[in-house]
Amino acid sequence: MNIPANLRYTASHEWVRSEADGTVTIGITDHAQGALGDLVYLELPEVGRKVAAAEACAVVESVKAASDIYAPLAGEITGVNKPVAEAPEQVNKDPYGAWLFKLRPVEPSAIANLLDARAYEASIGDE
Amino acid sequence: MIDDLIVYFLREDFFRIVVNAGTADKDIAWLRGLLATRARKLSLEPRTDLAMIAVQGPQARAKVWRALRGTEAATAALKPFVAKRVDSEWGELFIARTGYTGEDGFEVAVTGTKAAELWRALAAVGVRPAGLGARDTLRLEAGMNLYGQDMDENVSPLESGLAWTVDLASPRDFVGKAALVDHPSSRQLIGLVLVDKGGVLRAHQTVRTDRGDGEITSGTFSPTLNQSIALARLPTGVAPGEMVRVLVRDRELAARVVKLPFARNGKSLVPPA
Repeated sequence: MNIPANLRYTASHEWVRSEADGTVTIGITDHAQGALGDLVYLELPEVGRKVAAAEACAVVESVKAASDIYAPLAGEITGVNKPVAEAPEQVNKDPYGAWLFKLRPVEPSAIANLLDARAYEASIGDE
Repeated sequence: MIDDLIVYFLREDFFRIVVNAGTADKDIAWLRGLLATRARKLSLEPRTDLAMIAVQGPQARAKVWRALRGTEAATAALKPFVAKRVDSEWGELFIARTGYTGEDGFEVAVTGTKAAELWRALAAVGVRPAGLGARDTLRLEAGMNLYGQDMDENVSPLESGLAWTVDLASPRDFVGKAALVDHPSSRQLIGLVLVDKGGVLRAHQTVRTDRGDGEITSGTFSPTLNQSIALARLPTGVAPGEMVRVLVRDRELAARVVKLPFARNGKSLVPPA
């Protein structure tokens, strides 16, 4: 199972990467894309939208099921990955490269409260 | 509707019926009740000792003949929906040119204790296992109903795309004919393809048409068409080519009404918009 050590994670299978400019980049994990199966549709939030931590702000849909994506941190959406929205299968092929959206967190220090790779691995061990 | 099933003619006095496993007890009870009141000379024998393996696809029949030596001569001329019993090294095989996929192929029934051996013999000539996800997209692309999902005891065959199985025009009487004649349907089961982007058509989504609302009974993303498709129970009068709106999550998405099936033998049959 692919769980890069340099990322942070949520129990709802989002990965989070801190960027130099203070924003974070968010996608879904290898575990999530495997469980969902082939993705056929992605709905991304509007740039500029303000989200609360754990607020549903995107949707991924596979042949099997639709799944909400939750904002890992409170903040403002600063970017969305339009090419991936046009080609959702990229998320299956490259879950850590095919990011979904970026946000500027209200509280950057809150990133430290997210799961690290080991804690995420333990959390999916129970699934 | 109690179930939808296949009856194979083997002799004037011998038929084999293949029913849905989930409704088998109900079907057997119903048929036994009919036999007791209408056909005391007939007997019904559930064959719980048999297993069935479906082999489907353009090469399916050739693979079956390669794996199951000695079956080709007897089954080469079998037409679709026809079956034959053939002796083999695994005992008697029941080979039917039917399937739940819209592809050519055979369904092979064998005594249960030999099923694993038969499976391995087929695998050895390159037949690949397929799971329920593949089965569901195939059957939906082929416009084939799933009992319990597209119909149940609350709907009639006339509102389920199955009028062709209950021939009201024939002078022959059959159980249920009078009820069907007395209750013409105001609904139909028909196909939809999703035109707008916005998700996947799924069971229970509401469909808005110019003649009133309907509901999707089965939906999926079709690998063959590369778009979402669905079976929907809509008011009669809504015709192929018309546009309707489907409530997906919180938005209305445009979908086009199409005749079934969506695909056969791996090729899309849906005319371009």
